[in-house]
This record gives sequence, structure tokens and C-alpha cells, in this order.
Amino acid sequence: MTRILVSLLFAAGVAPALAQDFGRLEMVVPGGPGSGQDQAARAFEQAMKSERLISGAQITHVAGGGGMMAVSQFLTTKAGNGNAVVTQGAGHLSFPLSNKTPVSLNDVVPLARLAGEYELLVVRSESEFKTIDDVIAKYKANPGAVVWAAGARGSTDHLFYALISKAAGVEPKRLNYLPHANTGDIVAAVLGGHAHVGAGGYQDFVSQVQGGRMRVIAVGSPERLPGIDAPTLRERGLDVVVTNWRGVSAHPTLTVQQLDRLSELFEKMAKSSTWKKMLVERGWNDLYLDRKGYAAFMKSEQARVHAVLEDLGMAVK
Amino acid sequence: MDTLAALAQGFAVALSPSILMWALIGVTLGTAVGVLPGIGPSTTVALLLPATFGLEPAAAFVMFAGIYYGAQYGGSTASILLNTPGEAGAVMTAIEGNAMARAGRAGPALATAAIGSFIAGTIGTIGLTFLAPWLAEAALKLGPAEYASLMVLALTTVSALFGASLARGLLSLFLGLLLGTVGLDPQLGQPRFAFGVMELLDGIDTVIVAVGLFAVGEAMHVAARFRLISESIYAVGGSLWMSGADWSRSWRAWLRGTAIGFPIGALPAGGSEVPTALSFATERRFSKHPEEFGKGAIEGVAGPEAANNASAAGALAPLLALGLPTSATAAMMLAGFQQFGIRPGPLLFDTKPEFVWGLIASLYIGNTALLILNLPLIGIWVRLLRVPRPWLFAGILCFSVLGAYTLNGNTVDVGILLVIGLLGFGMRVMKVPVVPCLLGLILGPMFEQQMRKAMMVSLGDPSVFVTRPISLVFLLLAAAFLLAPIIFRANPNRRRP
Repeated sequence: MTRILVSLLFAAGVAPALAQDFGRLEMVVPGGPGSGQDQAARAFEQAMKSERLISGAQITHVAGGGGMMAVSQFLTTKAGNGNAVVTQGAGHLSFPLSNKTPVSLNDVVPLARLAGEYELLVVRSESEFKTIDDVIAKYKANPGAVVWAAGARGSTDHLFYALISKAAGVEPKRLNYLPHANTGDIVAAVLGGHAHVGAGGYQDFVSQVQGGRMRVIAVGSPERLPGIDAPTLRERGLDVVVTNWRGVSAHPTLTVQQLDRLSELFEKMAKSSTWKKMLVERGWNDLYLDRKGYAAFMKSEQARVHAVLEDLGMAVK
Repeated sequence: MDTLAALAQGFAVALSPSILMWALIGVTLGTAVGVLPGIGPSTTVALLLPATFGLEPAAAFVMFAGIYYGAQYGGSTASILLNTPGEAGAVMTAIEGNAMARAGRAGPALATAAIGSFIAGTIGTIGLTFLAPWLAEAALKLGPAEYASLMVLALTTVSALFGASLARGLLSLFLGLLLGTVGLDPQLGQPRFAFGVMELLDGIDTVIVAVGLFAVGEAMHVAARFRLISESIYAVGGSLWMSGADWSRSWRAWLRGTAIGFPIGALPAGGSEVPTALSFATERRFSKHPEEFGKGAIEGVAGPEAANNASAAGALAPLLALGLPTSATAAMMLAGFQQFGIRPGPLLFDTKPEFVWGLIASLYIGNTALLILNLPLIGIWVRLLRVPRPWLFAGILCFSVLGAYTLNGNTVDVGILLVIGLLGFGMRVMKVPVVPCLLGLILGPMFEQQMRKAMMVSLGDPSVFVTRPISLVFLLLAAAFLLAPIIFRANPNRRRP
């Protein structure tokens, strides 16, 4: 009875007055200060504040465990808290599929997918490989001879390579994959010629590409990306599309009204002009999906990632 | 000359009174937070970075430089006075620095650390001014094979830290190597020794081990022996200032430390642990007073402190010239740049020269502000030792636990800290040196990872380690380091080193 009353109240007055009444947003971020997740969370805060959607944000950093430490802490500390979300990205979906973890993204409620970057392939400018076709030809002839550098094993970068390998008709297990702890190391390995190919988002390489030190040889997007002079993988006969997406989820104990209020907040932000401007500035793609869309995406993405991990022999039994 | 004119322009911007005030505030804050045990420079910078938000860029960078240098210096103060390094790079300072403090020579130890840091920072910043693009380019040529061989060199130098007993030293080193295997295998992604504990998947944090072995272990040791030792052991005697002999023994060590620290810091996988360990081992091998090591040899403080600061300056070369953050602090700086929409990379020197030179000028100013502020304060810092030890070590324990918790925001780390602390206590009681353990933990995984990467790139051919010239040089140096004492000893005409 009270619940109905509350929902009536929400419908009647509180929801339209969201701007003033939301208060502080609490974000649990799986990563340290300065990490990609932290930058995304700070961007949400900045956009919401300048759109006057919230009074402020409190960001808690919980690094480690492939993002699952953050999920686990979120679950234990934010029960029933309608102002709290946990942020996540593509890597956090795949980690529990290749490692035994006590929690996964299935334990939280998807709220919205917001932004991301398409994966792409780079080589250094003096590389023997001029095009993606050169790389694939060499790889098919002698799989071990191409050294592919990117993030940790099982990361989105690694899965991107595995999908390319499969599309090229080579068993993904044969990838000579060189894992790195951070983006700086990947750039250094490619620039130094210690690896032949690098993968990541455009923002990871943009200063090298503009400085003439690296070339993008293919993008993993459905269509060519503005400002990037490179074909899509699809154009070259490799049907691979991979995004490194970012999204937010809520606590499973929340009521429908609480969930509505939170998803409305993120929807308003995602549709605001401030956010659209920030996406352009930061070179992020608008990947907004609402609660339903995000939940469906998570489900299909989990199935796809699981299949790739099985090909790599990394899936948890 | 263009470079000098640009630098002069940078100074002109940075030298206004209001900006100098920010430099002093930064240095003071940085020192105050950096001196807390368990909170090293990169954590300090992370904690204080938001304080620079909202300032105009010039003020923000000067304050940032101040915080950074202050944190470095605060960290060495804690190492020397309390034997509680907050970061792996400060561990080497703790060995001889704390021995000096116990011998009543805390003042000269702090002074040689401050002046050595200043000199290394100055030389490093000058090197950065003129060599950054070239150095960054050269560093890229080093690949996994070279890094693996550099780690071999660093591991051989650990033997210089064993003290009297080879068996105890090796025990400690292998304990560290064992701890280093915990976590996800970097190449295959399989968990090792994690026992299903999620918090162990990322391995055991070196900061936690450093703080556990040193701060917590030391606190337990002091508590256990409290009634057995007199208070006077920590009392300060003698001059607060460096004597003539201190100066003549320090300056060469400062220069050697700088020469080791700056180039290694510029390597994408350099860091501060390897150069400080190499510097300490060098000082020990070439000292004219080897008998003083372990009892407070000033070279053992001067060299590593200089190497630490020079490596920090070196780490800015790849950051500014290529946009590669190669250390935790450099990564924090990158985040700081981004708030002003500045993206370091090959084009930065061309597109934003005023920013680069402004930053370099800020580093000079921060470095100088630190020296001016801290030399007169040495007398006050030293008084920290007069705090009754039960209070002092209760405070250290408290901050250590706090530091371990804030690192990743989880309580498992606190548990690990206490277990490692007990281990550190046990090692002290058994007279097992703790430093080889810490270096094993740091160097072991780095060696493993680089060696395996080198083998992947070479398609399983182990000859890469000797056919690549730089790698070969590192391996020969390592061999020389191990064999030198044996050869010298065999030659009766030569004075024993």
C-alpha cells in the first residue's frame, strides 16, 4: 500500500522535479584514480552537474579482481541505496567468464550503456605491413610470426584479436599474443618494433597517429569512423565489430521506482547537449542503450564472449 | 638558443609571487602527507591532485611539482627517521638512513637526502630540458630481452644486501620471489596461489609488503623489546649538519646515483626500484668504508636518494615526448594534464611549447622550494625521534593500516599487511634481512614477464639474450658484479674492496 502511495507521489511530483531533488550520486568505480573507468565516472559527474541533474557526486575507487572487487563491495555496502551505481566496461563482463569469481555483472541490475570506443588495429609507421591484408596474409602463412600486442589476456583487445583470427580462418589459440599492463606499454612495444600490431581505442593512439609515428590499418566498427583514414574490417572481408563500452548498473535490492529514477537520470544525461559535446571532445562514441536495451545487450554479449573464450581455451568450466 | 629562450619564457610565467606561494603550499602539503608511513609519493599525489583542480594551469603545475617533490622528500624522511618507507623506491634509503639515525646522525642523513635529491632533481631536469625527445626515442629500442637482462643485473646486485649470512639472504630473496608468483599468470591468465581469494588475483601489492616488513615489523619488534632497550638509543647526538667528511663522501654518490637513476627512469619499464637498488649496490661495492655499511654509511643514503629523484625526472621524458606514463606518478600527472585538455605525445613540444617549458620551469621551482623549506626544518623533523616510542609506533601502526586500506579500499589488504608484518617481525628476530625479500617480490615478476615476452617475440629462441647488444652488456655487467669480489680476493696485491 505504501509502495503504491510512494509510486504515486513519484509520478505526481518528484519525478519532474528530479533536477533539484536527486541530490548526490554515489559511484563505485572499478579502477584507481586516473584510470579509464575513473575518467568516465568523472565525465558523468561533470555532465550531470552542468545540466543541474545532481548536486554532486561521490566517487569510490575499488581497483582489482577484474572489476569484481568493486561489484562485491558495491553489493555489500549499497543495498537499498537508490542514489548509488557501479560503473563497468567490456572487460568486466569477460573477466568472470575466464576466472572463477564469487560475483559477476549478473549480480547487479543494468541501468544504461553510455559510451565507448571501437577497437582498432595500429602498426608503427615504418612497419613492413602496409594494410590489414598484409598482416592477415603473413598470419595465415605463419601464425607465430605476427606478434600482437595489447592488454591482459582475456581483455577486450585479446578477444578482438581472437575474433579477427577466427574470421581469417586461423585457430585463435595460435595467436602470438603479447599482454601488457597498461596502454603506455602497448604503445612503447609497437613503436619500438617489439610487436607488429597493437590494438585499443583511438584515444590510446591518437597522439602517435597525428604525430606520424603510427598508422591505423583497420577499425572494428560497422562503418568507417570519421577522422580516421582506415577501412573497416568488414570491408576487408573480416566480419568483426568490437566496442570497448562503458555502462552503469544499480543494486539488485532497489525498487522499480528507485530504478526508474536512476535510469531517468542517466537517460537525461545521455540526451543532454553537454554530454554530446563531451563525447566529441573525448573521442567517445555515443553507445547509449536504456535499461532494457542494456540488459539484452549484456545477455547476448556474454554469450558471444563466452564462445570466443572457449576458442581460446580460457573459458571457466 | 630556442630551448633556452623557451625555458626563460617558462620561468617568466612561473616566477610570479602568487605562483611561488602555490609552490610553497604544494611542498608543505606534499611533505606533510608523504611523511606518513604507508603513504608513498604516488599515493600522496593521488590524494592531493584534486587540490590543484580549479587553479589556473601555471599555478596548478607549480603546486603539483611542489606536492611531488615534497612527497618524495617526506617519504625519505619517514624512511630515515622511522624505518618506514612508504614506497619501494624509498626502501634503500631506509637501510643506511635509519642506521645513521640510530647512531645519532639523523641530521646529516636528512641533509644528504635533501641536497642529493635537489642535485639529482636539478641535473635530471636539465637532462630533461635538452635530451627528452632523444632519450625517449632511445628508450623505445629496449625490448623484452633487454629488460629481462636488466632484471638479471638488478637481481645479482641484491646479493650486496645480504649482510653477514648468505643463507639468510637467499632465504629472504626466495621468500620474496615466492610472494611474487601470487596472482594471475601474466601470460596465460591462470591464477597462481590465489586459493580462490579474489583479492589475491592481482598479486600482493609491493607497497603492502614494504610497509608490512618495515613499518609493522619494526613496530612489533620495538614493542617486543621495549623493556630491554633504553630510550637513549634514538637520541640525537652530534651536529645536525653535514661535516666535511660527509660532504666529500656524499657528492660522488649523488652524481653516481643520478647517472644510474636518470636513464633507467626514462625506460618504459624502468621505475624507481631498480635504479635505487643498483645505486645502493654500487655504493657498497665501491665504498672506501665498506665496514660502515649496516652501521650508517652516508653514501648508502646519498646514492639511492639521488637515484630515486633522478629516475623520477627521467620518467618524464617518455611522458612528455611520447605520452607514455611509465610510473605511477607519471600516470597521475597524465590525469592532471587531462584536466587542461593537454595530451602529451610526439607533437606536444611543437604544439604546446609553453606548456612543456612551463612545466619544466615548475619542476625547477618546486625542487628549489623544497630545499629552501626543508633544510631549516631538519632540526624539527629530528625531534620526531623524541616522541616516546609507544606513542610513535602506535601512530605508525595506525597510519600503516590506514595506508593499506586506502590502497585498494579492501580489508583483505589489511589482513595481508598484518601477516607480512608478523613475517617481518620474525625475520628481525631471526636476523634475516628484509630487503632481499622485497626486491625479490618486485624483480621476480618483472623478470619472469619480460623473459617470457622475449621468448614469445623470438619464437622460442633463447639466443636473443646474447645476440642483442644491449642485453649482452647487461648480462656481462651482472657477471662482472658477481665475479669481481672473487677475482679481487684472489689477487693478493690488491686491497680488499
